[in-house]
Amino acid sequence: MNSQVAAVGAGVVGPAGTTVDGLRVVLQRAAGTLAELVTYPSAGADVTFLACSASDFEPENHFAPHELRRMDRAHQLAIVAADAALASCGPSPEPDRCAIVIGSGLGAPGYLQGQIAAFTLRGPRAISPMAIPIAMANSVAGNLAIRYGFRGPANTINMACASGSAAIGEAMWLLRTGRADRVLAGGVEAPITAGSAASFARMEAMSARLADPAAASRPFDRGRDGLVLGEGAAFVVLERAAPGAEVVGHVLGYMANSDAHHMVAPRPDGGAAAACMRGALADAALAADAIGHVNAHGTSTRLNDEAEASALRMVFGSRPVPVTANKGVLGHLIGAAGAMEAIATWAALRAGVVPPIANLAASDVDLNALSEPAPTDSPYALSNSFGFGGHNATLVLG
Amino acid sequence: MTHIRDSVLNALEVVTGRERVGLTDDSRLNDLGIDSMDLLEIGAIVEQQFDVELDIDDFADIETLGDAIELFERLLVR
Repeated sequence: MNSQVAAVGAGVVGPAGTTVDGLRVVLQRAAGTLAELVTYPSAGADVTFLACSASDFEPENHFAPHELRRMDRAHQLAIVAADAALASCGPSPEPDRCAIVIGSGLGAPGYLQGQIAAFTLRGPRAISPMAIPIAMANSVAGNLAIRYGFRGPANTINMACASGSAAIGEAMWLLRTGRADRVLAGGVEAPITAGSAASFARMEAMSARLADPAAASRPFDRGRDGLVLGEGAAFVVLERAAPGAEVVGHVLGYMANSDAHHMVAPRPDGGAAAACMRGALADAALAADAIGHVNAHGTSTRLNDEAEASALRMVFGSRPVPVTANKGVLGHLIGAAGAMEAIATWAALRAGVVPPIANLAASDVDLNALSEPAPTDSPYALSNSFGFGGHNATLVLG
Repeated sequence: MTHIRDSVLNALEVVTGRERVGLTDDSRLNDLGIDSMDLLEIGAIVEQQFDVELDIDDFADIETLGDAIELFERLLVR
């Protein structure tokens, strides 16, 4: 193969701001979780939880009121990130050859909750005629296709928290197999809603460190007590790039598989996750020894951290491959996480410095988890994403 | 009837982001970029305002803004 799949543009909107360089700097600093307390009233007790918001993002600066009526926050975040990704590269080729692959976990939970509330209070006539076109799982993909006039396939991948990585991986295949010449790929999630937060909280999945938000998300640290929800969108423009072309980074390998074990708990030994990593390495025709660092899924939940550490030991053996995890800073962006972390991984490779894991004071897993920035001269990294449902996705990036 | 016309025009502004200035009864909905989903949304707003249920099941004859206003007036006074 004389051309590799490369990201030629990238755009982000999230807790670390609205630029790729800002994302890199904030992750490098790793000063703590970018979380704040969010409270929603409810019929019972108020719903109070920690969340990492895209606080720099003001939808009113980007959209007119009549446009906002027809969007969930997921649409807004996705459009602004996708606009930025496309603005940072050259003009698009023939529309029929332009495709879209989007990862999303929950779709449009905020909008849906509003519609259900209106229905409960005032009956079926209170539901907007636009409820289905806005709330359906493929709504963001359809909106983007219309916005950019992309007439190739527009796919929505739902692999929960692995969606963003899988979207980039599946987009890579559209290019490898010649089904498209340009693919807008990435992920979006807008889960900071009362319903989503209460639901995650009922699983006991969320950090309860309400008094100390900056210390709440702590992947691989013994003091972890759950994840912190985050919102955002991250998109890349993928193409088959000629060798030597200036790019954001390359997608060298991808693998997805399933634990086939439990809806929310990972397989404890990490066996399927390890197979996923090995498959991605084989796809990239690289040995594990070539990988300079790992951007771990690292959710800051005990079950994930232990299973992922076990999987990494299976793949890398006794070699202490440096491991970072962006969720210590960004929280868990669910369907956007993998795409945001892929962009962060490329930024780290370009800078030659792997960012540390925020809040990693004392690790309780046998892993070279970074508590300080680490220089890297390897051109290759591996990025993991694992999702509820037992979905695993690994990207090899360079 | 003036208040129905006003309500429809208000709803049109909310749904399309277009101001009513310059619109006439002869303005063609196609030219204004208003489709049947927009009309349904406009209907939903008007319906809520007047606290009635509008059975908007036939858009076939709606070509102009005047047609739309007339339809809503007919449905509301029925």
